[in-house]
Amino acid sequence: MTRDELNPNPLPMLSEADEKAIDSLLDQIHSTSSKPPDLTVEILCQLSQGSTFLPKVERVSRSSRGAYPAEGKRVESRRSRWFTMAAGVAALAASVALIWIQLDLSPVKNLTSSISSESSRSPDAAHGELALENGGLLEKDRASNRESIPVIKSPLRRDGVPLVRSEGANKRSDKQADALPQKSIVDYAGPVADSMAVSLKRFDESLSQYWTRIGVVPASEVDATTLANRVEERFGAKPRVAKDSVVVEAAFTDDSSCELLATRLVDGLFKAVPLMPDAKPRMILEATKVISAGGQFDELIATWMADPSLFNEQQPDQLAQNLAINLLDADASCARCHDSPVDGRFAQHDYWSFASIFVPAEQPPLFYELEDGRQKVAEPHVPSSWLKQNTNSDQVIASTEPASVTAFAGSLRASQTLAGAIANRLWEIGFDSPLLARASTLLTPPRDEALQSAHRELTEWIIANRFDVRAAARFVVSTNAMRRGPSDLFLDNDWQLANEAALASATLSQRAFASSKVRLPSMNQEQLLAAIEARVGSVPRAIRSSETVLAQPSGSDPKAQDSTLKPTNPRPDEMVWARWVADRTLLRDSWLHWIKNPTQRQLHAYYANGVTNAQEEPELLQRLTAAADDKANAIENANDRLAWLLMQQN
Amino acid sequence: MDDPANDRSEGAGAYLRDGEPPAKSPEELIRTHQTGVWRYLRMLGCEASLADDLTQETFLKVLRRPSFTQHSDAATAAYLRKTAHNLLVSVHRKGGQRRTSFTNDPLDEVWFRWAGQDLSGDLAVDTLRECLAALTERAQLALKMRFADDSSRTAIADALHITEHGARNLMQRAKQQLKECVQQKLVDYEANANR
Repeated sequence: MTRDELNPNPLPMLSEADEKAIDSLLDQIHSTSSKPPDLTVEILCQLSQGSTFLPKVERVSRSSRGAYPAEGKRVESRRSRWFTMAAGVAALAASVALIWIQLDLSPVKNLTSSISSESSRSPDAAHGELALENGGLLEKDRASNRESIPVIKSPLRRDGVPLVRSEGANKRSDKQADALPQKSIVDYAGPVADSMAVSLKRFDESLSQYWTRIGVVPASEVDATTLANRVEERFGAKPRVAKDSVVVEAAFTDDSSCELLATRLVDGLFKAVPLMPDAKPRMILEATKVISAGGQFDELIATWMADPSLFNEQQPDQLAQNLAINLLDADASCARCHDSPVDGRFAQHDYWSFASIFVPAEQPPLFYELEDGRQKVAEPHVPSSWLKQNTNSDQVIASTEPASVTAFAGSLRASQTLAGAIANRLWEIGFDSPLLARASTLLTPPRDEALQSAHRELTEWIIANRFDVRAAARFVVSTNAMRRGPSDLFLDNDWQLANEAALASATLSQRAFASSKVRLPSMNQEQLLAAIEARVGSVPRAIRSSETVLAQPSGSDPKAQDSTLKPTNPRPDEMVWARWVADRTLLRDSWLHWIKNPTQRQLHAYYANGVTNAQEEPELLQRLTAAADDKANAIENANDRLAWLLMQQN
Repeated sequence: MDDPANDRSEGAGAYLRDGEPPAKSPEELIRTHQTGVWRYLRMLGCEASLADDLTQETFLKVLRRPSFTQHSDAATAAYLRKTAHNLLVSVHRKGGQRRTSFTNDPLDEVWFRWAGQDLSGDLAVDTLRECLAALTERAQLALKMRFADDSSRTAIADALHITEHGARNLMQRAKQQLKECVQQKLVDYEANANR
């Protein structure tokens, strides 16, 4: 026995409260299951529930794991009752507001009713739903009743640009502002930021799963300053760095950064689309306004599509092909001439049906040629399988396929397909390749369910945020992929000691969204060709792991390398060569090699790069063939080079 | 006791005055106070799972209350504790338990004494950990068996080769030592902080 146990002093009497306090703290110290949890995200997401555009998060509770099931259900059901009552009141208020507006009240009165409706809502509802459009009708109601309720022009629409989350909508008189809960506007960023954290977590998990499945090891994360510089380089906006972390909310807050983002996005969405000469500057200006106001980009695109002054309708084929590719992520390249052999959803008759909606009424209908040489007239309509309308289900608009440009424009609103395309275009801005590439695209990493899941997550985020491109760009900026640095092989001068196989592997990893996008030096076709020809004599057909070290001149012995030499940065031609070596591996596994006829393969190398009027370039082709390192497969290799050269210049 | 669902007491809900620090966003507010609320609920006798539930409910209730405005961290913390306490009372009432006799104030005072220094109780936990290390090995073992292994008093007595009554006394004295040690350290900490 110790002296303590034999202490003759009377037993100290702890008060019940003190003992409870000590017991609870001792429990926390000793028991691993009694640590205080971080419930921030769960609380914020529950706080934002009730607004349709924030993802619902299941209540996280230890009771849901069995300890207190009844309690969890009890609270949930009580909340459901309140929610149902609140929704009923909101719907009633919306109906009254709608009737009031239809009585032809002045815009000023409409605005007043909007504000009063908003002020009557609970603060958390005001966080999420923000400004009202269409004279007090909730946006979610408007979306769900789009077919049945005529759209009433909002007093907030200016310059033809529809804005939902308008700054003007939040401007109130001091008296009105006093009547509202003060935190309704100030706190808006919080719930959205945290609901983004939930979506981001799911997105990053899917992407990590994808990397694991295809065998890509992501590089280490970069520091905050590097990340901020990277974001600036790719998106044009440099987010603020505070306390060693990037403040994503600070990105795209000024007009210039919004304009840069708008420029990149318009370039991506309307790449190769025949526009009228003055169309693009106008589109960028309008896109900048919508992005900086947090407005609905789907509305803007719908407005553009319905505006005939923007597009050159004399080229319906080109319009259809590029709009289908950029706005609908449709595999239109193949379907122009035949049903797509790599993606069964895209048939030739669908392509020409889509193209014919762009044919002006005064012009003759469009004919297309079947594989057997017969001509067939195209019936104008947008194939239902190309355009998912309902954002909450896989239903497509089967019975009412849009049969005109105007109808097509209208169907783009709240379209899941358009949201997916915007997700891909934003990803391209950040990583040079779409998140989920079309099946016919050459040089894309393999598709996978996990990758599709990641794409779906970003798409749903865009829909949930009502096509707020700024929020979507912030999402992309915040992803794990953006934080990943370039492959360690490209750090410092390690690349000089790497063999080709390792370098090719690192480049392939970068293509699989593992790290930063690779910027090749700007070169014309001649320079590119010279670069990939430079080592033809010394490089074998297959990459040999112990072969050429890139820094070495052709034919030199890597073992003779002087290790004391100070490494230098790669020369441009060496960078191009490294990329070509990596891409060549992918090209050999692509559908291009399914085509046995060399002439057809050559033509498809053009088609795959969007060149529909492929012209023979005998000199180039002769040179490509002559430079082949493998004479037996000279033509095959020449076609790979041709496809790659065209790709670099695309 | 007022029904917590209808509790409209201002608590920290006095409106922001000139010169006071700006109100925290919901996220900041939750991050600042959630640990404190959770630990307070644990101190009130909640299991960890119920503390999780009620912590979430507490913040939802407070943040959804239109009249809630932040006055100061201390006032907000007190308001949150009161809401949490009321919710717990409500749970006990609806669960048919008659454990509504305890009042809020004495526990609030104890909470302040133990964990009120930094709102979260982290300082108290760290200090308690230091004090625990200063106990005798036998006392540490007894507390470890009690709180980490959930051992019975009989098992603790067997392990230490003492009587069951001796085990109780040992733990009671150890807790008293811990209380004195922690409170002395907290006083020292406050004195150093005020210098």
